[in-house]
Amino acid sequence: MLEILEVSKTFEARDRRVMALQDVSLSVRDGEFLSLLGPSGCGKTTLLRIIDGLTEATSGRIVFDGIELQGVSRDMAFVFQDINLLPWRSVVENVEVGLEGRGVPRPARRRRALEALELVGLESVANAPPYTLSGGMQQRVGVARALAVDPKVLLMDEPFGHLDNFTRENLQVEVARLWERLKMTVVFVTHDVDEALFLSDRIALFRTNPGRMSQLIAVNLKRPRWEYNVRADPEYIRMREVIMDELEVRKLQMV
Amino acid sequence: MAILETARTPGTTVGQASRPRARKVTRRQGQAIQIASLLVVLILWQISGLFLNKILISTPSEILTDFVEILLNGQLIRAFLGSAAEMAVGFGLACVVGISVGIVMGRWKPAERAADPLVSFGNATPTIALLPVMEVWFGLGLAARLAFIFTICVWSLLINTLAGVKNVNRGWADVGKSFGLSPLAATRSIFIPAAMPFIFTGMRVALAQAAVGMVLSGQEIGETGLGGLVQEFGSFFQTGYLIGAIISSTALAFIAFWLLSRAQAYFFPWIRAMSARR
Amino acid sequence: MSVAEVGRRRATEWAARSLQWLRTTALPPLLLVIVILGAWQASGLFLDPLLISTPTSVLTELASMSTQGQIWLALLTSLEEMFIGLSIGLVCGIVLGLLMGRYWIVETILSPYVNFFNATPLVVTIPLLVIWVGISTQARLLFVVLITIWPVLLNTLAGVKNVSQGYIDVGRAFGLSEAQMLREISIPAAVPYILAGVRVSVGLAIIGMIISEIEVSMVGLGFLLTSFGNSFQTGKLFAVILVTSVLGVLSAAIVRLVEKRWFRWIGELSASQR
Repeated sequence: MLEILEVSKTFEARDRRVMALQDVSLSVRDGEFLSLLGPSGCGKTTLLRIIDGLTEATSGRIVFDGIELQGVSRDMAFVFQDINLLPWRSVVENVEVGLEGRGVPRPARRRRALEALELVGLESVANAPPYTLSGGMQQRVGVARALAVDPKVLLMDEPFGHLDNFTRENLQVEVARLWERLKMTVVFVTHDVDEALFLSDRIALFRTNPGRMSQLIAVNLKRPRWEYNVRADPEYIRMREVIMDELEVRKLQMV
Repeated sequence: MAILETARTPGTTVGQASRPRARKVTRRQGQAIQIASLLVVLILWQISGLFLNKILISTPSEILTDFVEILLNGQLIRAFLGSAAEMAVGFGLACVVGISVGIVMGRWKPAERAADPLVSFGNATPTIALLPVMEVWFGLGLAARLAFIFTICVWSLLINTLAGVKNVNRGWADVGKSFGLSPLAATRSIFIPAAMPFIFTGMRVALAQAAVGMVLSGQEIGETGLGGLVQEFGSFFQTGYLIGAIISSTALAFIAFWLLSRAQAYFFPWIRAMSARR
Repeated sequence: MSVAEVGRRRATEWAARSLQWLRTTALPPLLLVIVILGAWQASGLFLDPLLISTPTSVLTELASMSTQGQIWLALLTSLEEMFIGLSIGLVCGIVLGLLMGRYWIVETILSPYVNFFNATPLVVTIPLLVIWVGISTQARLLFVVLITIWPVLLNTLAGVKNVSQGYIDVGRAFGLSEAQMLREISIPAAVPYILAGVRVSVGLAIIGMIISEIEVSMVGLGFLLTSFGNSFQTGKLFAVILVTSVLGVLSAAIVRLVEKRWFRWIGELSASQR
């Protein structure tokens, strides 16, 4: 189980202090798909980075399976919004990065990387340079890279943010399928309400100024959600209204 | 093919982080360490002077006294000002010619196609090889030195200006077209200002080349200026004076670059914002 | 359409395209070159050939020098020295640039000296080098090393410091060690910058070689330049200048080829990570 305990983060810039996160506390159950949903600037990416250990919290702790987190976590893997594939490496070499970091010897590395590529259906382009792939394919490589290290928790930071609508919807289904198959814990950051409702077991809603969690909503829609028109489900529509109200009202309040 | 700015830009890149790192040391501490290590080097140098051959290298204190001496007797100042003036004139002429031709080539395709191979060739030719030719044409004096400085730096100005004019943001060029600007008006109001960052990069490269030209021409044509001083001190093995003259040349170059960056900041303050946006 | 017709159609298309290429790309420079060469040749009629020689005599001199072997010997000597000096300069520059980029303390301590030498018109150091090692190959080598280090050092430094934050995140997120970060992330990401620095340094190496040979030598292309210049053998002088320029153009082309062959991904790097 992943516990986020009263995490705060303040950024200091020359003469200003920005409180990106204020006392966020949250428990993530094993095997659940949890989304962090909110407008830009509410600190959700910062929180995800703190969970992984890429960014240090100003105060508060991250505890995973009873052990407090120090530095970058070895049990979690990160999927980046900017994808960040290394252009000087082929696709499969990119997927191997995490395995190199863990000192896995060469033959085993290659094997596990190819297995991860098979999971996302890209084993055929294993030796291609990344720039020959479309944005959607590149991000699938990014997901494969994260899966290759067999993480206990998968952290995804608005992974489809830079992709067009059609690609995004396809990849949402792929992520949902992967999760059903692998049954790992996923923490997913997004600003897209429909995306969150489609994918998650629970949604944590965030506000800005300062960034904090305002509500935790359980999503009780039947799974698998790609096998029917979930968006027409009355429960879906109701929850969507609830969430939009929560976020919209805040926006009006800011004015 | 604009040359990357980091080379040939003294004093600006080294020591400046492009992105603030999560470091526990402040800039003050950094400066303190720098000064401290410099002092250590100077002290070690001074001490080593006790067992080193004086002809090979003088100690800092001797360099200082020699420096003050040639400063006071006017030798250094005359040479410095003479070199500075020649460099300024040569560089200035090269700017006028190089930038104008670069703009013409950038805006008029036939001109570019015709002259491009010639420009590459001229750029690749080591100007110093033409030194004897210049002496024959311009005599052994000021004119030859100016011609030399001009020739050595005009290419960078031309090439970088050309690159700048050709690489103007498509969107801005479209604005000109859609608002009905004539090619000439567009050149003046859009292309030239837009090419300014490249032009200044070219000026920085050319300035460094002009400094080299200034020294070389001073050495070879008439033994005048800082080049001449260096030649003279070198041939008489007066290492102390020599190092003093070397440092003066560096100082002249620094001043020149500082003036250029001041000029850029004053006349074209928006260039900084443009590159910061990237 | 029959095979013959297809063949004919393709031939005419090819002819039309070549004609167009000749007209737009090849003709203007060719025209300009012919005009200039023509004027140059004509000038020989009423100007003292000492001043400027003529294209024809330059070519004949070049031909005779080639057969004599004089120019090849000089070229080889020059190239050998330049190559050694360039290699040392590049290696030192890149290594120092990497160290300075990676270790802040190295940068802090070394940057005053780097700035000093980068700003100095290095020609002034030649008399000092001569005092130290005499009029010798070492002096020329030292000068070439000195002149080539700084551009590639500064560019390497900038490259290492400007590694895109995204790539650094990947390295950290996937647990790469310090050594792995440097080897797999920082250095490859810095390659575009390093290559730009190499390009500048290669150009400077040629110039440095010529200058050092003129100032400090009895051998090589630089020496030929001096002796022909001093003896006003303008035809031979221009012939040597021609060879030197070709050398410069060729080396720039070689660097570009290396970049295309081994570093094709650089274009993608700069485009996507701005």
